[in-house]
Amino acid sequence: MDLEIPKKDLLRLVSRCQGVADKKSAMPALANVLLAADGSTLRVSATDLYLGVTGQVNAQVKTPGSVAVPARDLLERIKAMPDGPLHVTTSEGAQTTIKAVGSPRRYTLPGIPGAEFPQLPMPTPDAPRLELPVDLLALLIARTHFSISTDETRAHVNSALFEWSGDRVRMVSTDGHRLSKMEATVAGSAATATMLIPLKAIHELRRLADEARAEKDAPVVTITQSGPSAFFTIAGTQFSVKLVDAQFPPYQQVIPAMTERSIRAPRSALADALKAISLAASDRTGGVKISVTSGSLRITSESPDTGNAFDELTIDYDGPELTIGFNAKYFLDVLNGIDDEEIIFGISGELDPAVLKAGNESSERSYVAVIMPMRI
Amino acid sequence: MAVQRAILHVDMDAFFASVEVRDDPRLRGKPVLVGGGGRRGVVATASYEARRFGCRSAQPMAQALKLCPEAVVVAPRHGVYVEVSQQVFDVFARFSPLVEGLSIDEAFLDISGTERLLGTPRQVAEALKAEVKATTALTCSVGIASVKFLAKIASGMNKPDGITEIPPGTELAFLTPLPVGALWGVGPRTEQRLEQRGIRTVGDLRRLGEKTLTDWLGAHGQHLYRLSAGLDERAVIPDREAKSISNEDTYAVDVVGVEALRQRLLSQATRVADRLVAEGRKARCVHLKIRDIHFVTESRQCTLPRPVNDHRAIYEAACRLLDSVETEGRSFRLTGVGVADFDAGSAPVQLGLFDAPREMREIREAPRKESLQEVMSAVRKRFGHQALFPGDAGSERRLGSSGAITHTRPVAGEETEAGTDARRGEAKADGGKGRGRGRLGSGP
Repeated sequence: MDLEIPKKDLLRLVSRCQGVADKKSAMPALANVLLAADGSTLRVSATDLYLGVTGQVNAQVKTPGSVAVPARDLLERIKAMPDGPLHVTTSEGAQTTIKAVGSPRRYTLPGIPGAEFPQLPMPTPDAPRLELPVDLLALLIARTHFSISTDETRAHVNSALFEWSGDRVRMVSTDGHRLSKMEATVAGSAATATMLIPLKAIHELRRLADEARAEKDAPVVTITQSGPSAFFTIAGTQFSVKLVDAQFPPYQQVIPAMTERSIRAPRSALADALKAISLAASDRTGGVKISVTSGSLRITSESPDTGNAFDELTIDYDGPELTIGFNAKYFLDVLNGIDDEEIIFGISGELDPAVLKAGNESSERSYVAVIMPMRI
Repeated sequence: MAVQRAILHVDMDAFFASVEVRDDPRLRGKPVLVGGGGRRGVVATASYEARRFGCRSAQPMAQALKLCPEAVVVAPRHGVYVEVSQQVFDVFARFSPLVEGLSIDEAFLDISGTERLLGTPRQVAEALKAEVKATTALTCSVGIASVKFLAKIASGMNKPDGITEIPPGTELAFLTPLPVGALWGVGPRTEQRLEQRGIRTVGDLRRLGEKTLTDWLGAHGQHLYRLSAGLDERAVIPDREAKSISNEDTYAVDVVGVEALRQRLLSQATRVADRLVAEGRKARCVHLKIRDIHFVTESRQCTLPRPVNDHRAIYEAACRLLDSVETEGRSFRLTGVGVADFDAGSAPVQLGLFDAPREMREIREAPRKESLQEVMSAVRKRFGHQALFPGDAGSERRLGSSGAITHTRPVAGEETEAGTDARRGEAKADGGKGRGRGRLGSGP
């Protein structure tokens, strides 16, 4: 392999891939990224056998070929290079040399032949393809990723449910204490798909989506489901995910159709007050009490260990007083994922689920978060 | 101005033996050896009558019987000792919040600064002895001093049923004539090394000076010098909170079958729940220990969705754990139920979205159940563990009656009791320290 490529292009590709490379795997090859040069393109890939990512960019390829080199080492060395073109060559035994063109600086890395790197899955050519604006994918993830369970032993909730039916797409996640569901209409589409995307893949997709939005206006993601995997192509990067083979909990059943009381509250003021009061809540539980009473919403925290805290907001509410305990973090995650000025806060009883919605609900985009109380 | 420190060391007199004599008046006045019978048994405690013959704790039973052939050998009933120990420590707690248990039957109490409230240290010691006697019908000996190690030496000076006070300012006079072996940390080896240099008394030791002792024995030498000068700044450290509470029984008669095992687990879960309530805590983690007659021991544990303190929840978790143990065709000699991962009793409980209706009902009913548990625990605390227990705890607890509430406070020495229920019960409180009051093995 012998090629020349601008530093910034190689850096972008390798940093995109190295998050997927598995540095702690029992299979040492997985800590590598694969560099494959062919025609006039360089492809860079990484995989942990569950996730795979491949990006490509134009390069001046003198001799095609492929090699796999340690992902983190390669990234550090590229960063340390001066700006400008880099000359990448491999010699026998997969020794890989990176040299800055017009500078004496060079690195040699021990690599393994590209053929020894595991093959990434590919969709079958006839697999159905769906297209979605990247902005929408980013929105689905932004409003649901925080309530994905981090418990890796519970694969069915250690992932987000992605559903597409007719012209509606939705993403749902739950950790058993709370749930978030984001739904949107994709004009002119009619498709059916259901997939459980593992947490690590959601993090990577979020990163890819943010990068693509930063680089270009209105990018589109192409989604293909094929065999046990799903493939997301965003701005030339193909991301494959081995989907979770499990049953997501029956989430529709736990979203209350209605709540006894519905309160509009200013989002950022509420988030600010909750954040301040949760400072005084016990670390372990993060429990605060939220009381609604005529015209005001009060947030209190009382702890024999950490002391007390109190704050109050003016709200448009006229009804009986009700006090419910909650984990403040669950509220803050939701409030920070929304950008509406107001939120709608629905409550029934002190042991009943609370519902949070964005203030500007529309039939095109609808969001609901369900949070179970804490008995304090 | 610094408050004059006043430390009590309280030591129960021949604890296990005294409990046995108390519960079986026929033993009164006789030499009693509490301990394992058989060829390899060891004396856990010898009564004062037996000590006159040279019997001591940790002596092989055979040797003790050679010294005192007429001694009555009694099998230890650890469950009872733990219960009595709890009563005694409850008395201690009424005199000072600073109680440091050394073992099942001795403790330090820091009563500094309580003189205006409770009287002189001697008056406190007298009141404490009277209260221990009123509560348990047992005697103890008390040492009073300004530092811990002197209080401990003092309590042993006037046993049984004595009080020895070393008034402030008389420490050196008290220490000087004592043999070096009286100091904490001087074992037979050090004693021998000191003896070779002609050091026999604490006074000899002190006259050597700190430097010489440090040169000889290093840091230990410096420590000994300070003790010989009556200096011991170590504070009375109240017992660290236990990290787990468990109840284990080894059965004289093997337990066969799931039903029989469950009955044992229910009774153990009840005891564990009582301890939780007494300490105002709830636990998230429940563990099960079970040992068959071939000494194959299996342990299982699980984490509950929310912390609990009621016996039913602990029992049900233990039963679920038992389901994962192969019980078919096996006989068991030991079962144990324990809990860990504590929360304060009032810790918030996060509700779950997918809690089954049954679980939701449990949460709604939890405050009621917890108060029921507290009442049950209070009854047992006042009237003894057999006073009140769940109706399905089985004949093992009911002892012949079928009612849900049965008062069967067993009379020690009764033949039926010994025959059917000669269990070794132990309630353990595993603290961070190596020792722990309630932990068994070290006889008084």
